[in-house]
Amino acid sequence: MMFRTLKASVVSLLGLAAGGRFRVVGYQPQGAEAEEVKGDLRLVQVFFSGGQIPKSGGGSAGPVAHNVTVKIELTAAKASEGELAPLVNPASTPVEFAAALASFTSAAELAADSMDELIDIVFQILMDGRNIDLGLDPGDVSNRWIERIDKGEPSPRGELVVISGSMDLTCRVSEALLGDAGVPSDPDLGAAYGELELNMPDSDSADAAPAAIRGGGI
Amino acid sequence: MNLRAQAEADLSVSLEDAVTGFGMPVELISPDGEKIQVNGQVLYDSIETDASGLQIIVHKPVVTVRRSSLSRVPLATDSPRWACRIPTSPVPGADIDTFLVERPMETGGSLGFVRLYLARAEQAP
Repeated sequence: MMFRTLKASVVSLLGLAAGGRFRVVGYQPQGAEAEEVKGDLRLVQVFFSGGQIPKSGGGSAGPVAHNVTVKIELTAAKASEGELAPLVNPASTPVEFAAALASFTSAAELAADSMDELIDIVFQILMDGRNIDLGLDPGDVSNRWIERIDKGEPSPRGELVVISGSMDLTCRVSEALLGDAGVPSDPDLGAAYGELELNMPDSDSADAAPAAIRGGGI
Repeated sequence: MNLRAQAEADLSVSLEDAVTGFGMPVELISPDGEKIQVNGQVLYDSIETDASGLQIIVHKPVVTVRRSSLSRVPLATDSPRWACRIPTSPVPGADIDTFLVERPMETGGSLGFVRLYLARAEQAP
C-alpha cells in the first residue's frame, strides 16, 4: 500500500536533510540507551501509526483515499555542561572550584533546549514548500500537515537526562486495490497436518473436509 | 556496642579499606569549593525502572561513603551541586572522571553511609 512507500520516503527525506544534526530510523526501537541519543545523536523515529479510509473516498474496485498519520517520535539526551577544567585541575583554589560548579547548566534545561531545536528542524524540513510531496512524485500526496506536536518532560536516565517528543504528520494518499488471491499452501503439508489438527466431524473421510483444510488453498 | 553501631564501625573495612574492602579513592568538592578526600565504594552501573515499568540496567555511577568520615555531608538543598571525582575503573592508577552529584541523595541517617548518585558533567562548548 502507498502508506508504506510514504513512510520510507519521509525517512529518506529527513535522513538526507539531517546533516549530522540527528539520526533517522523507520521503526520503533525497543528502548534506547541514553548514550545512544546524546547530543547530535538525537533520534528521529518515523513509523505509520494509523489511517482512515472514508467509505465515500473511492469505489469498491478502484483506488481509495487514505488519510494517513505518520508518527514522528523524537528523543534527545544531554549531560550538564559547564567549566570542567578547574574541577580536574588539582591546583585549583576553592574559589575556582566554587566558580566552576556555579557555571554548570542543568542537563534537564539543555535537554529541553535540544528537543525544542529538534522539533524546529524536523518541522521546517517537513513543512518546507519544496517538500510538499514528501519526496514522492507530484500529486501522490495531498493535504500534508503537521497536526500535532507533543513534548515530554526531561527525566534522568543513567548519568544523562533524556527527553522525548512527537509529531503527527498527516496527509492523504491514494491506495490502489490490487487484491490478494492468497498463497496456496503446500499440498503435502496440508495432507499431513490438515486433518490431524482440526477436530472436524466425520474426519475419517478426507473428502468430508473442505479443500482449504486439506491444504488446497482458500 | 549495639548492632547499629557495629554496622557503622564495620564501614571502615567494608567501604573504606582498599586492601580487604571495597575502598576506592573518592574526591568530593562542595559548592563552596571545599575538597573532601575519602575512600568509598563505587558501582558503575545501577538498576532503574523505565517509563513502562521494566527494570533496566543503566550506566550511572553510585558512590557510597561513610558519613562519619565526611567533614560535611552533601544535602539536596545545596546549590550549586557537589562535584564528585572517581576512578574510571577499579584498576589501580585508572584515570579520574568528574561527575556532578544528583538529587535526591541518601544522607546516611539509617546505617551511617551516604549514597550519592552521579550525573555526567561535560565541558561547555
